[in-house]
Amino acid sequence: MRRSVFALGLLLGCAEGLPDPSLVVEHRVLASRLEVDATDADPSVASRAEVLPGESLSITPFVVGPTGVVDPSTLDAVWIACELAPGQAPFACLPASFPITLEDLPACATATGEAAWANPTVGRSPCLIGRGGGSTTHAVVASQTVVDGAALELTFIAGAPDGTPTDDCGSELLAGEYDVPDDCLYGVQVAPVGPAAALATAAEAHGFTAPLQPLAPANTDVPDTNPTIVSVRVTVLDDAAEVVVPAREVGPGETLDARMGQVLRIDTRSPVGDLQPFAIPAGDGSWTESSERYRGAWLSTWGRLLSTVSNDPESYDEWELVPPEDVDAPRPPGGVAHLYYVVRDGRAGVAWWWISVRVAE
Amino acid sequence: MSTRSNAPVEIVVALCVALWSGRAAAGEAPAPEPAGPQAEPSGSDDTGAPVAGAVPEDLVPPRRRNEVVITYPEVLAATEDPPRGTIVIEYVVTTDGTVAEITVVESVHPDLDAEAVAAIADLRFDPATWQGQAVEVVQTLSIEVAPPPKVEPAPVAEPAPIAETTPPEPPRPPVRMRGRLFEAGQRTPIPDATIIAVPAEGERLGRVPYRRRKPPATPATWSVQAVTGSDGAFELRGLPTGRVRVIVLSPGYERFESVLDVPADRVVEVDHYATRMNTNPYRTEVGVESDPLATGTERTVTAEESSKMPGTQGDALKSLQNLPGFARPFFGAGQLIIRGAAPGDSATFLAHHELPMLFHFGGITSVFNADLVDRMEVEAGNFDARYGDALGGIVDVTPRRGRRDGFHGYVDADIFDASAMMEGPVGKGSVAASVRRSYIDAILPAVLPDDAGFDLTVAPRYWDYQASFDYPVGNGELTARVLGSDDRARLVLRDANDPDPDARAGVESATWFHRADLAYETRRNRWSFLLTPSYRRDSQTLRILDRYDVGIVNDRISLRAETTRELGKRSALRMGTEAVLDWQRLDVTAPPLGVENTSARGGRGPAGGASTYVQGTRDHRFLARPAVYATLKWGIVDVLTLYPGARVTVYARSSNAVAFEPRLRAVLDATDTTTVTGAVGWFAQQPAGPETDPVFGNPNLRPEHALHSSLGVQQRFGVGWSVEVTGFHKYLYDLAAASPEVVDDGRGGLRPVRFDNAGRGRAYGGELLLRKDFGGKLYGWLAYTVSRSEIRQRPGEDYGLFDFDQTHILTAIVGYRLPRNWQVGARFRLLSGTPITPRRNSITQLYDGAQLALEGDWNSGGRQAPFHQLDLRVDKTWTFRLVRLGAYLDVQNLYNAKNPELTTYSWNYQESQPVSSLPIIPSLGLKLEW
Repeated sequence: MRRSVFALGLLLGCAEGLPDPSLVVEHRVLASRLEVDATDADPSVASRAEVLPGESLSITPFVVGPTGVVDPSTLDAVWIACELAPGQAPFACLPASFPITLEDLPACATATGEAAWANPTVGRSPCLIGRGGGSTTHAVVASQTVVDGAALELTFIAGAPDGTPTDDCGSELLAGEYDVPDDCLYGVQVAPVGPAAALATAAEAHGFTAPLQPLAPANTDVPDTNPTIVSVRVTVLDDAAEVVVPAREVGPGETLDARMGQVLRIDTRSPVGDLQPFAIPAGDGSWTESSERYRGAWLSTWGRLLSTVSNDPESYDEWELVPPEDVDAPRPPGGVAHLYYVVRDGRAGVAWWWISVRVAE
Repeated sequence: MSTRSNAPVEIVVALCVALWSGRAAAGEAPAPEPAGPQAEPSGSDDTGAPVAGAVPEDLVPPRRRNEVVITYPEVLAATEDPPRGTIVIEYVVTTDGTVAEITVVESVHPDLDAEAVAAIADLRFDPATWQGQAVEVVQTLSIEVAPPPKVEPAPVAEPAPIAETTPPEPPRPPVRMRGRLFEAGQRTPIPDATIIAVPAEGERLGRVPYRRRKPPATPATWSVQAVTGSDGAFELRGLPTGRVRVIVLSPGYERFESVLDVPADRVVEVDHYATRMNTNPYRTEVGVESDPLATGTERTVTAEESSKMPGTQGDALKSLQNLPGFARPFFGAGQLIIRGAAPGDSATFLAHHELPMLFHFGGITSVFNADLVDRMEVEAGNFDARYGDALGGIVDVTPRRGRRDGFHGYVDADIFDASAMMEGPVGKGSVAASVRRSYIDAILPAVLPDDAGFDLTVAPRYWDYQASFDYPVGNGELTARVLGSDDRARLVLRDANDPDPDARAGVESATWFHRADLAYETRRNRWSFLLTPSYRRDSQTLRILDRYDVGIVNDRISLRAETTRELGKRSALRMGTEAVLDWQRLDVTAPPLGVENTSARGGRGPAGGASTYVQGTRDHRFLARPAVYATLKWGIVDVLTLYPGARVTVYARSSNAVAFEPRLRAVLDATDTTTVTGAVGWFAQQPAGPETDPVFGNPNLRPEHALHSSLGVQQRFGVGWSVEVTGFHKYLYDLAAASPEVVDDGRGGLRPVRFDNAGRGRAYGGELLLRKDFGGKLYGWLAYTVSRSEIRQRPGEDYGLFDFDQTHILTAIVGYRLPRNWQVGARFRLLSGTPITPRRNSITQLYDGAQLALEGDWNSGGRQAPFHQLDLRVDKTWTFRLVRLGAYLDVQNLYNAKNPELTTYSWNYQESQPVSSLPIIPSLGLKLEW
């Protein structure tokens, strides 16, 4: 891997010597999962990530650290919603209001159902969804911008456990500062509003002007759902690639035992059926049909990974339980190493999975 | 030598007429020294004035440093009828100032001749120079000798009878040797060369090498001389039978000597090949007429100059980056950053039409062959009204015609590519064609390790071609030209855990253009006309993963028609029209522009990150840009010339705006060697690219404007030295600038503005250019620019540094021509680092896992460390009779300086480190010419 980075760097003029991005040595927010009318918190169950006005959107962050996954409920977190105008890039909406304070932000409307169409969010963008634990629920309220832009920008601000308070993290970011505290957790998510045909129909039914964008072909105008990870199998190998512990299914968050120098081979499977077709507007009324594809990211708190990405429904990685390169950490903190896997579908859908390993000498 | 008496009368030898290559020197003729009544210098023509001839204008004749005295022998003076008359002596002034090859052409008396030869041998000169280099020249001296006066009154001379008829010419001696003189390696005849034959008894047959060229112990008892004709032919008449040494002298060529036998029974037929000196441009210049409205202050780089410039691999356009006013782009890429302007604000024209791209893969080498270029002129600002739609500067590349003195060509290869070129006459016209192809695609896959992390499905490769046909038609010249270029690369990213990578997980690019021109230029009396249509198709394709898919195809018809009327010795008027018609087809899929997607000019783009939700645009546009322009060259007085001009451009079917661009330049020849220039002018440019796209930009953007002003002084010194100091200021307004604003879309919703015309800019500074012309042994320049380039994206903001601002830019280039066709050159550069935008932290894009940097004010984070680099180049040419082989070693970054080019950041932007420039890179090239 290092050679490939070097070769690519040689071609592209990059440099080496910076921290390995796949090595988690401080708290990070890796992803957030959007679920409409979530009935089950189990991320292995597909759920809809695309929301329509009047529906409630459950937002769950995936916060990890060097000692494992952080329970969102233990965080003091803030979520801010902002209505993206057509073509507006993520994190362009909230910064347009900088400098601002958390106290200045109005609370987001909470109307659902028909009421969400009756009380457009004029003057309420950006707005404060809520403050408390990392997970929250946002009621999506209609406006002409929401109808036209079909996306919400969701900004996450939280202080890391035992780190800078959330108020300080928020005030620095919302003031437009770029030199914010290093340990603050900041994230921005885009919540798609749709599907387009349903949105247009509902908008017209409630007196809004239909979106400028013509409707995509019906076969591509399906709700964006979250992918699932249906199978994770772990095989323990020794340094000669001989099987020490045969492959077995493991659940999310499970803790395994292994020895220093052994290799964990992890095979994951996500159904191809979880991927949806979608259409890309071409600006002239036509569309280009495309489909989602998996993008997996592997991270660990200790050890060495064969690869940090995977792009297939069935993918694998190898986790070698040896000290990471360029880091003085002969043993994992507390003797336990953690592996995080996040898989996205290229749009709003996401799923994650993790295991822990007690590393013996 | 006979005994010298102490006779009271001395003959002071003075040079009367300098003959060089059979022609009189047009330069300074040596002034006769005061002479006694017996020794009066006389000219070799009827008037005593130097003989006019086609001597090169830049030949500086030798200067005599001493005087010598001829003493009339007392023995002869005592005779009853002492000899008198004119001794004509021919000799060669060598490059070290001594005299050689002394030959008595006309004799008076052997003793007097010997006295004269001995005296001439003691003469010393400052050697003649041609283009700054010492050359040998042949001189002829007439010495009138007479005995000292007797004590008794001299008898009154009877008037000479006037001849009533012209005496018949003596019969010409027979031809004993004939031949032709060619340039070695080129096979082209050398006209006006001097061929001298002198006795060579006892010498070895064959070519006389340099080390054996010693002056004869005794003066030659005879010599025969001839001058080559336009076809290089010569005839030597009256040669005695026996061994002779043939000496070939021609300016710009190495002295050639050969010993031959002249038999009694036949005429010797021989061809000689003279080697061109390395101070003499190798190419037969097939230039084109210069612009009659040129101010003469344009900065020009010749093709020969650029081909030997260190650090450029002989690339034409890259050599321009060493001129004052040019900033250095990242990694020495191929962008032309002129006076702090963005590369897209300057335009490069080749044969009156704009080039869509300049360099293969953004900087490896120019897309056209430098060997087919006559010259390149740079207008760093305040350019003529014939060019428009540019806010920065102009590079005007003038291609040359094919040679008409025979068929020539070359093959050339270096570490990147190989090329071939052919040219020659076709009827009264000529044709030239070249082609080049890289072989990176053959080498790179072989040297990449198996676990490199990517597969080169199509390794980077490029090719280009040019062909031109010129033919005289009527009073003018018709030119047909085609040129094109094609760059392609495709790599598929591969991971260790993915043996079958998705084809979409890669990067692919293809950029090409093909162009066909016609041009007809003619002159009738004081009028000249130019008509040149051009058609071009260019395409850009770029795919990055499955997020960016850009396809742009453009068909352009460009038409320029102009006429120039000379109004007098110092005045002329040019009027013209230019129409540029574009049919653009854009098919782009990409995320909405985010902060890392800067605008075409540079600087901050619209706020925000790159979205997972890509958008597309399929935009078919027809754009028309007709323009009319006129420039008057008005020589008010001898020393002052004004160049008022104006251009009116209609940006039809885009902004539909009309841009009026008045311009004025003034040239004051304060002295013969001092020129003062001043200029002020308005310039307009329509934004292009994504900035005006209806999906990604704002189609309602208006043209951008700039006001240029400059003042400069140029001082020329002798032997090719000159110095130029220029101050400049640019004010830019209506610039397309990224806008974070959203506005009411008129339907109750909001829409982002993305770009508007709220940007302002300014650039100011000074330039110094100390230059030694390319002609002599020593050449080069010292260029220094101090400048500041600032931009203000939004109203009310402070001006901030522009991306391409570099405060100090110092470039020193020196080249030296060594004997035996060696040439060495070096380039040293020292310049300020580029501005840095502070980035200390980031926000996670939860939708794709990437990080969006949190940034401070644009370019407010200081600068990269200064850049310094030394490049070295060594050229060697071996010249054979029929071909010439050239080799060069070009070493970039000789002492391997680690100059920071960019800053790279850790995944969360909390740590950073500089990315160094390219390490030491030696490049070896070979070129075989014929």
